[in-house]
Amino acid sequence: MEDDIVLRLLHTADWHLGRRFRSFGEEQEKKLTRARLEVLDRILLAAERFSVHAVLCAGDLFDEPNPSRDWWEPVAEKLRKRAWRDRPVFLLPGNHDPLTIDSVWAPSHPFRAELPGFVHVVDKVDFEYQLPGNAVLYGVPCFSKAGQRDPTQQIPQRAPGDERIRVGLVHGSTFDLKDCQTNFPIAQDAAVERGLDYLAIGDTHGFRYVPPDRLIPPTIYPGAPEPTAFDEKGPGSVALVFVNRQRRARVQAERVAHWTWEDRAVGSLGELRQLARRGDLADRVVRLRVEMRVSAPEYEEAEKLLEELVGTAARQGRVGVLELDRQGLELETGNIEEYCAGLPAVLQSTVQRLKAVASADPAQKGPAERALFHLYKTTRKKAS
Amino acid sequence: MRLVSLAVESFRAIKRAQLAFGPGLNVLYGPNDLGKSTLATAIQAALLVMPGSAEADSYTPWYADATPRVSLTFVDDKGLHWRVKKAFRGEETAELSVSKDGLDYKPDCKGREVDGKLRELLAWGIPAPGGKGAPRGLPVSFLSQALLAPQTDVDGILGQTLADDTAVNGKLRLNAALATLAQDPLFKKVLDTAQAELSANLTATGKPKKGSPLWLLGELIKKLQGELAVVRQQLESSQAVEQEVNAKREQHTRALAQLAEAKAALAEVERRLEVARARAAAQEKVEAAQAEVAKLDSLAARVAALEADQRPLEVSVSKATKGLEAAQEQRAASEAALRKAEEAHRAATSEDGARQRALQQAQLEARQSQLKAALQAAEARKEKVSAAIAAAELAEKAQATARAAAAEASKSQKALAAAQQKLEGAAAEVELARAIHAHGRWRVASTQAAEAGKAGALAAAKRTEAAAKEAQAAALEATQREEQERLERRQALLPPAVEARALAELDQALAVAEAALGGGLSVSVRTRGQMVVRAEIDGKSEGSRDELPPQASLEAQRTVKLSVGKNVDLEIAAGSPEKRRAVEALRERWSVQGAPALERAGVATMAALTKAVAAQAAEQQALATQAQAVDKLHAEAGSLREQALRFDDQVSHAGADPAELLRMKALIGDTQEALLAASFDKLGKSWEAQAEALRASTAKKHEAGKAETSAAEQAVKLADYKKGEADKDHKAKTEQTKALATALGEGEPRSLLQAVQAECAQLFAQEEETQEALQGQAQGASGEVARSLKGVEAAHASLAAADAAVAAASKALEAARALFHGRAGEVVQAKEHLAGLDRAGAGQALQQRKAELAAVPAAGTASEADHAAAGQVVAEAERALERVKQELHTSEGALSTVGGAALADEAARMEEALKVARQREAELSTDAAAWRLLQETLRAVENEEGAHLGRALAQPLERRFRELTGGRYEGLRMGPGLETEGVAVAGANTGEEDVVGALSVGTRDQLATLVRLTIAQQLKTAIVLDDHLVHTDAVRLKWFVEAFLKTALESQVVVLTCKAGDYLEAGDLEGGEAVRDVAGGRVRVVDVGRVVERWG
Repeated sequence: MEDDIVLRLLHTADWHLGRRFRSFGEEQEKKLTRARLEVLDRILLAAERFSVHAVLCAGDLFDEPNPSRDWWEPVAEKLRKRAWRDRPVFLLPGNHDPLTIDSVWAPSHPFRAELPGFVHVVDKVDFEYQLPGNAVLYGVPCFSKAGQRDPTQQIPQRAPGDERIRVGLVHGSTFDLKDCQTNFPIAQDAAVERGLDYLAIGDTHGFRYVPPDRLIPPTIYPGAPEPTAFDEKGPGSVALVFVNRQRRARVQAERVAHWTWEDRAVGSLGELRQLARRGDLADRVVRLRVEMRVSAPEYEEAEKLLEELVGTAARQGRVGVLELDRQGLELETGNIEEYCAGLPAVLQSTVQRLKAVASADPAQKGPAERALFHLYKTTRKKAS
Repeated sequence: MRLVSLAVESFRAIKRAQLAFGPGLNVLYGPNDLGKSTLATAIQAALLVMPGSAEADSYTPWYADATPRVSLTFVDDKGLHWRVKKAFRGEETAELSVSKDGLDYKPDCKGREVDGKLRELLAWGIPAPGGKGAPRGLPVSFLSQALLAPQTDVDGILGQTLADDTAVNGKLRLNAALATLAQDPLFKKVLDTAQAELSANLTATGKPKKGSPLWLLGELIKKLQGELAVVRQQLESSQAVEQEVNAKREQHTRALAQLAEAKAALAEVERRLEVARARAAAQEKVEAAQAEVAKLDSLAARVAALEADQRPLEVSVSKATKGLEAAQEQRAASEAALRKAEEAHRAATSEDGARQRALQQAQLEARQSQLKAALQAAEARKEKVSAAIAAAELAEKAQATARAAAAEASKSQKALAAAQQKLEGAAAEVELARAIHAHGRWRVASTQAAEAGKAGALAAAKRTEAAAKEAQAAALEATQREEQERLERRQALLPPAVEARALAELDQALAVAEAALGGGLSVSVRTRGQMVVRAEIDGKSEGSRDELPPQASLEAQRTVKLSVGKNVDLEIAAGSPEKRRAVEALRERWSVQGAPALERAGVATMAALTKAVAAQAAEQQALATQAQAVDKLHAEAGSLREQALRFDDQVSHAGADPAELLRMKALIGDTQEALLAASFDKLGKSWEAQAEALRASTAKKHEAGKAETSAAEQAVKLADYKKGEADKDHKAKTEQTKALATALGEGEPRSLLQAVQAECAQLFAQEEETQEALQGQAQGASGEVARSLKGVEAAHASLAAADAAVAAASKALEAARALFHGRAGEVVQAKEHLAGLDRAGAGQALQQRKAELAAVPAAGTASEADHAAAGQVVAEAERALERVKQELHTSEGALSTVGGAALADEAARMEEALKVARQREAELSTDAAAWRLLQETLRAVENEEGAHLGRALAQPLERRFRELTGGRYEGLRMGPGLETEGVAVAGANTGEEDVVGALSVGTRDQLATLVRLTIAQQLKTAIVLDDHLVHTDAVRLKWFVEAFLKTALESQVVVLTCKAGDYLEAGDLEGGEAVRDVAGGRVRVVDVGRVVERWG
């Protein structure tokens, strides 16, 4: 079959350039937003490595219709650097960045002027482009952030006798759920119904076949090339599409992401130690929930390990980006006296009183335990 | 606290008194019974005694019925000036005023609240009035005793304990003041750490400190909440639009279903109507066939009837023929009789003549017979010709009928053409109405789109303007922050305004004091050899010069400083020693208070400092004004954003996407746009209703046209059928006429009839002539003939009678024959007509029509009314669908302007960010609460244990007491309530034994004074000492004076004494004003006798 390939495509979508990651700190947010631009180089490199005939970008390339120059200018620059002659790139406006009069896709926008000649913006409903290998591309852009019309219905049906490879490029949701109706619903059998040999779509951030039973011809969500959230399934790839003379398309996912997002919970100090020993944390975005009840020395060790993972003003944390929920970290106060032996009477009385507060008042339990830990740690520093 | 001034009126022995306190040591001196203790009591009354209390009874003036009044001004620890005025027995009023600068006072409270506020301000452990444990008379607490009590009860002072206080604030205050003196180092470290953490994160009121992580998180949360609220609002709008679209979509689906249902119902009605029409047509055909059959049957019946009628006529003819034959036989007999008679006559007359006449008669009679036969033949021909003419007439009638049918068919065709033309016109009108409606929708949508575009542009402009305002505000805020930081930095270098004023006063006092030195100095300087001499005249403020010439005369007011070479400095000062000391004291104060302030502020003079403080205040004010400007800009930006949102609303209500506009445009069709535009413009504002009405009316017209066309088509079919029938009839009759004409031979029937009639008349006339000739011949007989003649005549008469009978019989026969032949002709004609018709075919046709009728279902038909009603339902369903479609388009247009799923994503992400921020805030809050709890718990434990207080106070007290007593005593112990527990004798084997009780009266008095003085020093508050140290020797008294002076550097000390010499130099007591400052301003001396006016 490989010898029979007549059309090679790279299909990507949902770059979401300019997206904010407000859940994270300022520096961490910068890392993640910057990564969205950096992945473009790997995408374009993959296009060259696999010698694709065209690159299809299926919408939501920007997180909003009119992003700042900081976002669109690097895109234009990265594309210009490629200077491709026979490898057109197609940029499709999606529902996050619809084609409106004041959007980045508007013909009058400076972004359009800075794009090289091989880059084509799908800016009309009857967009059609002849691809090599007797193939044709049909694209339908989003003109608003919400819509209930199936964009594939704008693609002409295959005419009798038309033996060309027909490829569709649209953005929308194939979910048949009530809340998703406005998000440009795409019929699951749209490719079959419109006579397409491959339907390139964008919107969902995970790599996904539609329908999931992988019927021929394929309809594919390539997902976001860099993940954007912890709950995404299979993000971080582009789709490589190989179409043979019989118009049969084969698809393979090609990973391009730098970051891997990981949602973790540790329930013991051992698990925390194990996590801290891992060597792959630098490229991870970790949401870590600490849920354990430990003695004062263990609490101190846990604090130290967490500090290593998070980092300080002077030292980079071991985890690339960390969102830490440590509300479940509790101090075992039952034997706290053991660790406070030798303290002056007034401090021992303070320990007893804080312990009483922690057990008597649920609302004060957290502050009281934490106060006990502060007391323990402060007096320990002196001792050491 | 520091006392500022006291005014007393009608208070015990004092009629009036007024004095101002100095900030340091105040020595109020005067002989006994002058009212010194009364002044101390007045201070106590002002601060502690409620105007209506029993204690106030003792304030009654001794020599007058007047209201005792006191007014005391003091400064609290925060620098605020308070003035309390009380009037006791008689009026019982109290007022408390407050001032920031000691000049402008504002009322703070009155009456009972005054003492409550004072006790709160003093924090001396005295509960608020009226509360639990509140004293009714003179309130007593550890601190009130230590700071105000008369010295008469030394044991009471030494034994007073904090444990007896009914309010805790005294203990707390002492605790705070003494805390640092005796805490455990580790405890102190923990407490300091907790305090540092708290200070870094929380303000004194427990709120997050500006700039702290907790505060930043709070700001972030507020920002996120604000943004989330906006996004949620947009999302709600978006969801509302989506729900509306969904609802409209469902309505659209329902409307489509209803239309399909209505169309199906209409189709069913049309089908039934077609059936009904087919059945009616079939019925009509059956009836026509039945009529044809009936007509044929009627014709056959007529033939039968005619034939039946013909038989009696045949009998009549037969009878008439027999009558004629009988008459002819009679005539023949008569004729024979006549011939006999004639023969007889001839015989009588002449045989030849008779013979001749007989021959002529025979000849005439033969001729007569020939003529009659010819006449009969002619009559027969006449009947045939008449029959031919009648057939021709029937053929002509059939032809006329056929022509009429053809004319009717032609008329129907024309009517059909007219109806079709009318229908086409109606269809064109329907199309025009539809095009007008579509044009209207397009025009409205275009206008709305244009308006939406304008509104969008306006919204963008408003947003741009708002962004500009916000940018301007942000720029101003940034500038303000920088300015604020700059001012804060500068403020840190500048003293507070109150302090600056105090420094200005000190500067002024120093200037006045230095001016008072001005006695004038004249110094002549003559240098010998190479000696460099430099001079400074009148200190800092007056001119100085460099390197004097060899001979110089210097003139100064107060001082001349000379530097001779590198080794000698001379200072020559004017003025009395007292004034110089005063200047020195003020200079020392200046060096401690003023100079550092100037140095910190980086200015050289007090005037510059005052100016800098004023400038700082002015800039703070300007900054506040700028902040208002920023608020205004934010408000304007907010207003602009609201305007933008309103424009967005307009856009969302009016917008339609370009593709939709194109589709709407395409729906207009090919109708000329100018015509549509003109028509649309004529409709005006209610165009839609009118366009709908036009569509309805044109549709109705079109339906009517269709019905008319259908009726015309039916009429054409019927006319064609009739024409066909008439043509067939005409053809048959024409053929019959031709057959008759052929039978007659050539010639036109009517001409033939005339010829035959003429021939008949001619034959009849010849026959008449022949008859007359016969009669003439008969009349020629004669003679004998007469008898014969009579015989002949009788024979003739008989023959005539016979002839008459024959004629009558012939006539009867002819009449019968005429009737018979006429009937026979009718029978023949009817039979021929009947034979020309196809009775069997008509019967078959009838059966076929009946079969066709039977094939059409009789049940389930519909009427035209049913059809009209079903059509009405379809039209209504179409209108409803069109309306819903339009609403759906509008909703979908609005949908294109909302945020949709992207907005939901944004809201979800912001909620996640908010959740994380709140989680982090909870962590930091818990941490801050932990530090606070730790700090509070540490302090609570410390307070409750209180052990350190005694240690804290005992440390400096023991040091001083040891110093006072020359090291005789050591190990002073004080209890947790600061009660003096014991003291050890140095080197004595007394162990822990309490020797306080064993001390001498003087030493115990001194110890009590030291305890009080140390407490005042620690609290940095004023102390009033009255009747103290009365048993103290001069050495220790001198030590105490030094101690008072040292204490007075930090706390105000008011000493009431009758032994002024113990405290003052002799010179300080000489003359001068009643209130004067000595010892360089460190001591204020008040001659009580001169500030107090006693009664009498």
